[in-house]
Amino acid sequence: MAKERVVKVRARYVTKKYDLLVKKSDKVKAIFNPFKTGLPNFWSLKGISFDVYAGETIGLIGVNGSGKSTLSNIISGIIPPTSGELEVNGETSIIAIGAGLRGQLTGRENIRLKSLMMGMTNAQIDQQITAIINFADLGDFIDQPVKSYSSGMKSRLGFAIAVHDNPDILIIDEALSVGDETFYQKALDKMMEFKQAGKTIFFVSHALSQVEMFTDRVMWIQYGELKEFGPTNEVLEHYRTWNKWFKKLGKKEKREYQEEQKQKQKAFTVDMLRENVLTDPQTKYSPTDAKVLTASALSGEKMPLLSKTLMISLGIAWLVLAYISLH
Amino acid sequence: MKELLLIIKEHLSHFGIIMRLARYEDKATNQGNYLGMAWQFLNPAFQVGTYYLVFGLGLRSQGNPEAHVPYIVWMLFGLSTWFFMNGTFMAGVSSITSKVAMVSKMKFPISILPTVRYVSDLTSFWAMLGISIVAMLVSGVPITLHILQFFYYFIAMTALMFSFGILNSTVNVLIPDYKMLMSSVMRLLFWTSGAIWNVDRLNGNHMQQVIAGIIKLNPFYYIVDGMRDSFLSQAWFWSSDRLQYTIMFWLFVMFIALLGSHLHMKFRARFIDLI
Repeated sequence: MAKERVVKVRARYVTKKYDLLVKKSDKVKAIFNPFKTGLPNFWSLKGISFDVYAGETIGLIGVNGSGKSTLSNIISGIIPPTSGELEVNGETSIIAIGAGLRGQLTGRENIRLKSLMMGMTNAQIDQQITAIINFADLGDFIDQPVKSYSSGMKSRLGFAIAVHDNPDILIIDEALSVGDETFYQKALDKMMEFKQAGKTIFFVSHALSQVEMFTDRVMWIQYGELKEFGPTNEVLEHYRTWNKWFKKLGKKEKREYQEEQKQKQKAFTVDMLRENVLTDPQTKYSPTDAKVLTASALSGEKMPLLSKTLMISLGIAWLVLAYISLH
Repeated sequence: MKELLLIIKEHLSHFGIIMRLARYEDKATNQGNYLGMAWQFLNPAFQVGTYYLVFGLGLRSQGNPEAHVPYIVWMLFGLSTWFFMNGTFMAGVSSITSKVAMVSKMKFPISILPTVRYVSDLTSFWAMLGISIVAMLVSGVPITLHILQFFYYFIAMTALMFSFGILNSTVNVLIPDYKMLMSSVMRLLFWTSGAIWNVDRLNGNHMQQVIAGIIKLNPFYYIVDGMRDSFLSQAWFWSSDRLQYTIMFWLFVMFIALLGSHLHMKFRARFIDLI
């Protein structure tokens, strides 16, 4: 476990709500009035709270569509949460299959472009590029366009670039599941190295044996809720038991169960979220705190009055001058 | 106001990334062709040739703006400025939409994307401007102190392109039809920005004068005309018949910059959700 308890990622009732768009024009409606759309919603995350400390390796497990990827994208700062508090201390880097690689460019060019976008100078890249190429181990394919790569090769390249970026917090979203044994071992060694250096790793995977071997604690996410968060052995045991139970169900029962859960995610409301916050046994939030916590983190900022007046006067001045110059 | 300053600060602190990405962009776009970077200026050169054939040799009456300046030189300065602004403007519109897949899996200051396109397009602008200056010297047009104005007009053009870049790239994420609309608008603006015909020739009846007056309000015309003022020594930007347009130009730029930066900041966090 971590030597010193430095909180790296702290989340309190983080939610993610998606509008289920019916028509194309709904999107425009959602843009101009993002919080009163009247569209059906889907709560991908229904309020998740946790603390993760420096040097920990956290596994994220759960069935497909439970919200694992949404959560890892939120932690890495790619998508904003709908509400809740999220504190991330340090630089994050996410590895997902084929993430952010450009198909027309070769592997080498992709390394250069990605590194440039991460803010490295050409000299720094020249220094590092050999290490990245060796790590990805793509042979002659490094000078071929990425669109000709297999999914395993893509994920190897993505992994190689991301780990050489030297992040404090590394998020691996099922990227290792496509690599072969050799690469997996290499990646594992690299991750162990990170762990030793006191970095925090989030590891999203369906391969429970990998999770078991590698992680300290596990989050089990089930239909948008954090069902369990604890030591790896414990949570994995419960998860396996649940899986066995679920497998035993008949086809119809399975579907009914899933439908019911999805229905719950659609029917979820802010009031229910607030209720959950207030009845939290561990933290005692006052009603005002609860209101603040559940308020939308994305309230579309209004333009300050000063800017508004400035813009209007600029517009009027332009019109007046235009009028004068035409007469 | 705060939002605009924030974006400018972001540009300053990421100046290195902007330059390096722009250079890379240049290489990457032309790398598939045998002639490579040469297309950066071959393409506009062919267009200039076409317009010269049609308006310089064919419809002669349209040209001949100043007694001492040949039409080709006069046209070159206008066209090279226009081509650059048109290219940057349209590249700016789709700069965020086209890069979102790349940027979506990493932390990146999205507001610099239109500026990266601006810097990358500058390469062909310098080439075209070089050709124009050579043509000007060959045909014996003298260089005067007016050329110092070029620095002013270059800054003005940068400000205009920066403001439009922020606004356009944001709106294009929100409304996908925007790109189509803008390419139509730019096609109209090409004929009403004085790039290939002299707007001052519209002085026949009252109606024509009103149309000329409206054309001169357009900020693209201000830049195109200003570039000619600088190289062909016509007027200073603070002279009595230019001053009102100078003030109006900067009012316009400020307005677009404030609107663009506000929209950009407001929707930036949700770009990924919106595409």
